[in-house]
Amino acid sequence: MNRKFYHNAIKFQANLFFKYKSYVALSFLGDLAIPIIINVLFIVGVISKDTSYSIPKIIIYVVLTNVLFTVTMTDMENRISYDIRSYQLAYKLLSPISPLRNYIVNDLAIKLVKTLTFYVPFLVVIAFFERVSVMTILLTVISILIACSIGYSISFIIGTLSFWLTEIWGISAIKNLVIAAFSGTIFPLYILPEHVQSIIYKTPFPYISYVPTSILMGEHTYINAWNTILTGCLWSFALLVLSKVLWNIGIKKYESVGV
Amino acid sequence: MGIKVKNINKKYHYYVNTGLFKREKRYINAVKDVSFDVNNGEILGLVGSNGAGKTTIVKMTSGILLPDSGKIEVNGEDPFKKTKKFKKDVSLLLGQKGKLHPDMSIYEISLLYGSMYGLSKSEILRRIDEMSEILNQEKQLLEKQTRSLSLGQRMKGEISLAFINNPKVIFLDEPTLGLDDKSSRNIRVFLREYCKKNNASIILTSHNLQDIKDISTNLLIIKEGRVVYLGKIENLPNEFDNNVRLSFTIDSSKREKLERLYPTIKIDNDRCHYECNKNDLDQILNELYQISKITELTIEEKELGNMIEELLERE
Repeated sequence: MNRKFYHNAIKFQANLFFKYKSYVALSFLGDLAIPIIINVLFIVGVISKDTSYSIPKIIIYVVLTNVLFTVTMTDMENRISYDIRSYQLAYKLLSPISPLRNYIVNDLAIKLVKTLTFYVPFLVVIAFFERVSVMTILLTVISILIACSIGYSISFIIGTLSFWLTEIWGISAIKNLVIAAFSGTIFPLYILPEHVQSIIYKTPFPYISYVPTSILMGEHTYINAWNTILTGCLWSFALLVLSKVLWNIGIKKYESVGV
Repeated sequence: MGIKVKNINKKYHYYVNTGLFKREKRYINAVKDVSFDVNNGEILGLVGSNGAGKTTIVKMTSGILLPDSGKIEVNGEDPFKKTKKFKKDVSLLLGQKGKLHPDMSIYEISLLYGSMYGLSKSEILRRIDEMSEILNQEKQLLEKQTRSLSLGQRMKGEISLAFINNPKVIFLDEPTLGLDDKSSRNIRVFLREYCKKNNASIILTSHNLQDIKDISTNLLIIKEGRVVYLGKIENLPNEFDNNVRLSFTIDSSKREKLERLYPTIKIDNDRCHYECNKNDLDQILNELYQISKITELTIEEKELGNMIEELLERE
C-alpha cells in the first residue's frame, strides 16, 4: 500500500511542479540562481579580502551552501498551519496515511523532483572538478540526510505551534532568516568572531548547509567529519523527539477543543 | 454495529474583551446530552438552524473532536483510537471545505488518494468513472484542473473522492451544496442505493430538506445543541396537534354555521381552510358533509420544512 502511495506522491508532485513552465523557471531563479549571484557578489565584494579562499573557491562554496540549503530546508510549517486552521487536518487524521507521513512524503517528493531537475547537475559538476573521494561523497550524503532531518523537524515544530497560535508566519519568517544566516548560506561562518562561531556551532543550524558543504569541500579530516556527523545525529534525534511530543500534545488539544 | 452515540456533551470556550488588556473566558454549550443510533443500512438526517451544533456532532462522531462526556462507538470501535480498520472504513466530506487541489485534475487527485487505500490505478480509474456516470459528470471534466470547474462540478469531484474507498461509515456535511436539481437528485439516489447495497451507515447534514426527506431513514432535529426530535420522518407529523390542512368550497349560506363549529377555520374568498389532526380527519369530513355539500376538497399534509420550523420555534 505504502509503495503505491509513495510512487503516486512523487508523480503527483512532479505533475504539479511541471504544470506551469513559468513556475519551473521562476523556481530556479528564485530558489537558486538569484541568491547565488547575490551571495557571490556580496562575498567577493565585501568580505573576500579577509579570507584565504580564492574567488573560484568562494563561488563553489556559495553554490554548494545555496543548493544544500534549498534541498534540506522546507516551508512545510505553512502547510501544517493552513491545514490546522482550515480543518483540512481532519481529512488527514482520517486518512490511512498518518498526517506526519503525509506531509513528509509529499514534501520529499517535491524535493526529489527539484533535486533531480536543478541540483544534481550542480553537485555532479562540483564533485567532478573538485575530485572528491568516494568516502567524502558518502560522508556528504550522510550529512545531507541529517541536515534534512533537522530542517524538517524545525519546520514541523513551528507548524505545530499553529495548534496554539492563530498565525505563525512571523515565526516562519524569523526561522528562514536565522537559519539562512547561521547555516552559513548568506556568508561563511568562519568570517565571524571566534566566540560567535563557537556559539553558533553549538546550535543545530550549521548542520543544515555549512557542515555538508565543508565536508564536500574537504575541509574536515575523516575523523573530524564523523565526529561532526555524530553531533548532528544527536541534534536530529532531539528535534525529532521534540516535534513528535509537540505534535501529540497539539493533536490532543485539536481533538478536545478544536481550533 | 453502525454508529452508537450516548449522552454526548461538548462545551466550547471563547474570549470577550472586557478592557484594553483584559479578556474574559466564556463558555457555550455546543452539544447537550445528545444520543442516537445509526444502524447499518440507515441514513440519519441531521437538521437544525445555523450554529445548532450539527457540524460539532459530525466532528465528534467521526473522531475529530472529543466529547466532554458521553460515549461514541463506530462499528464497535472508539473513533478516537483511529485504528487502521476504522480509517479504511470511514469517509468524511465537509461540504464547504473541500480537499481538491486547485491545480490538479480529479483524475490526478484520485490517483493519489486512492493509493492511500492501497487501490490499483485501474481500480481507482474504474471507481471514478463509475461515480462520474452516477453523478452525471462529463468525463472530460475529470481531466481539467479543478480551479476551472464550477462549484457544482467540484462538489461532484469531492463526492467521488469521498467514496473512493467504498466506506462503510460516511459523514456528509452539506453534500449537495451548489449542485443543480438533476445532480442533487442523482446524488440522493446514489446515496440511498449505496447505503442499501453496502449496508453502510450515513450521517448527513443538509439545509436542503429535499435531501433529508428523500433519503433519510431517521431524522434528528437539533436546537442549541439539544435534541428536539429523533425518529422516523413519517412519524414527525404526530408531534403536531394539527398536521393536515383541508381546503374546500362550501355554500356561502352555511359559512356562519361552519365558523361556529370550527372557530379556527379561515375563509378566503370562496375557499375555506382548516387545520386538524390526521386521526380526526374522517370525523371532520363527516361533520362537514352533514352541514352541506363540499366541493374542490384538497387534503395536504404539513410540509417537512414547516414542521421543522414549528418544532424549532416551539422548543
